[in-house]
Amino acid sequence: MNELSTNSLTFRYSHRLILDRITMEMKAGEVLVLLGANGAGKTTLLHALSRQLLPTSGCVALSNKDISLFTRRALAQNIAFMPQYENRQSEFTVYDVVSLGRTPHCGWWMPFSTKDLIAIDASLEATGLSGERDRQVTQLSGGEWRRMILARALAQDAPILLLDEPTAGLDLKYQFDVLDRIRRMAKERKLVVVVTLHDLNHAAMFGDRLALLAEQSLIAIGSAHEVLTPNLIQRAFHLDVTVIDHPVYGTPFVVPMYPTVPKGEGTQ
Amino acid sequence: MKNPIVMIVLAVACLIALAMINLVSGAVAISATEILLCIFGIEPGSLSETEQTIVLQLRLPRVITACLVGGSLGLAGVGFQSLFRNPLADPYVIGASSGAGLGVTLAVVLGLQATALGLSGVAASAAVGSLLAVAVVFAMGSMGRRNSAFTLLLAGVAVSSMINAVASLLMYLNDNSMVVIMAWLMGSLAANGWTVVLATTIGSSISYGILWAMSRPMDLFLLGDATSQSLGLDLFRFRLLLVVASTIATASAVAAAGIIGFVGLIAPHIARRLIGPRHVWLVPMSACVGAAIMLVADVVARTIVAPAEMPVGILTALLGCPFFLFLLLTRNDTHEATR
Repeated sequence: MNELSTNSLTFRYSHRLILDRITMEMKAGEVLVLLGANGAGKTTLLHALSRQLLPTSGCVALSNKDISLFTRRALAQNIAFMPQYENRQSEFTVYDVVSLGRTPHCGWWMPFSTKDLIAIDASLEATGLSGERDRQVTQLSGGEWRRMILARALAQDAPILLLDEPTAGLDLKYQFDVLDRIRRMAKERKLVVVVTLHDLNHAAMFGDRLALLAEQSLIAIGSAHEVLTPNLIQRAFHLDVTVIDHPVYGTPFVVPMYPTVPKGEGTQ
Repeated sequence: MKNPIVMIVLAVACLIALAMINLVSGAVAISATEILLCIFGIEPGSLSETEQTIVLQLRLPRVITACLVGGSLGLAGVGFQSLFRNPLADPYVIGASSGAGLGVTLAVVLGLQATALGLSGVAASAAVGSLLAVAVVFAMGSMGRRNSAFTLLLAGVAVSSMINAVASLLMYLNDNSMVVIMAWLMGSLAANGWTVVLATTIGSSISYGILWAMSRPMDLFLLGDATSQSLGLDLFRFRLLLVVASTIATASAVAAAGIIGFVGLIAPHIARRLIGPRHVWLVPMSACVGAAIMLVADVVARTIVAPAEMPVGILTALLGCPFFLFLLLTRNDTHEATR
């Protein structure tokens, strides 16, 4: 069974403390949403989980084995990471970029096998990019580009999926499509999914567990009802909110309170 | 999309045609048919002894050397442009040329007579000089905590200017050998017999093998450090192999022909236009384009001021520069504005 866990993970940038003794477990078949204000360390945590950054102290373990003991390739077969940004200035086509997701499986020079080609087609299909495969990366819109790198992470076919803001810049339909697909894959393939999101209500709808980062540490981790309370949200985001039950799903629904917004006028 | 295999076949056909033109041109007029018959050993009797020597000992090794030198420079250009994710990188970007310069200077000043792998002492020390300079740059660039391509580039700039200063000092102190050194560094394919072909073939084949085997990692690396790492690329190992392969190619070109500018810079650009960005096609195409440029440059260098001969390095820079500007200005820039 694939599990990812951190033990007392601490990270400093020169002398600034970013993450302080984070200990948590991520289970297979579960979507864990990382929440936190800008600069709270969500991306740093994802980078540490995927060994893009080495922690100052503490460790990340994949099925109880420290990830620093894996070769890069073995790690890439187990952990797929979708970055927030990367170099977009290349003349590659969508298909070229997505097929690079198979590199951990076929290595430096082996040609693609049928299995590789099937995985590439399936992930293009899953992100609605089948018709765009021959377009150049530089001609894609921001949202299409994000779906493309999501498709690459899916093609990687790893049991652990780390996604840094997969919905940023997407149309409303694709925001929900992507989250729905991620959730469904987590259940069907028993994946460990860790995803950073900005929208608390998306997190409540699609996350099995939510983890709230603030003050350099994990101030809450648990179900949406446990984490999305006015107190915790005030601590993490410095924002007054009312939390009501979602009229359709029954999940917590966060409504920011701003006195200047007139109440009730829309209903008259 | 154009079929890449067809493009490669066309490029090779062009190379063969250019090679024929090179073989035919020269002070002694010999027809193409006679040259082909002579090379393949059929009816050698139709040519005189002298004509046979001209074809087999002068023109043929020279054409092959031109192809190998241009091909190596094309390979090294692709390698370094990939390493720095920068289309302005060329084979000499991290010190290979200054290392070669110092090597040549030392060999001339010290009067080195030894030979290695069929190379003269001067040629061998040029190759060794460029390998050593890049090794020093790579070691320094990898020492820092942030071991990135950018650190490597800066280390290259610093180390090359120091090496250049040492070479200049040596030349200044031995001003009677300056002409010899300069003539060598300007780049020439003259006076290269079969002996040089061997060393250059070994060097460029090793380099081609490594680079071609690395074509997928090179594609991946273009997307950035973080992405390539998360897709399983060991960055240190990748950079090391890329630098080794590209520098071997540079050193073998330098040993055979001195410092030839611009070929390594423009060959990958032209190749990219012809065949696209994927390295599995770009690597062979760039080698072909580099070889083609050298063949053209060599035939022009030999005929333009005949019976004298122009240093081919000067010619590649003269021809290469306007061509490069043309490429820059006609490039379709749709994506630059969206940056």
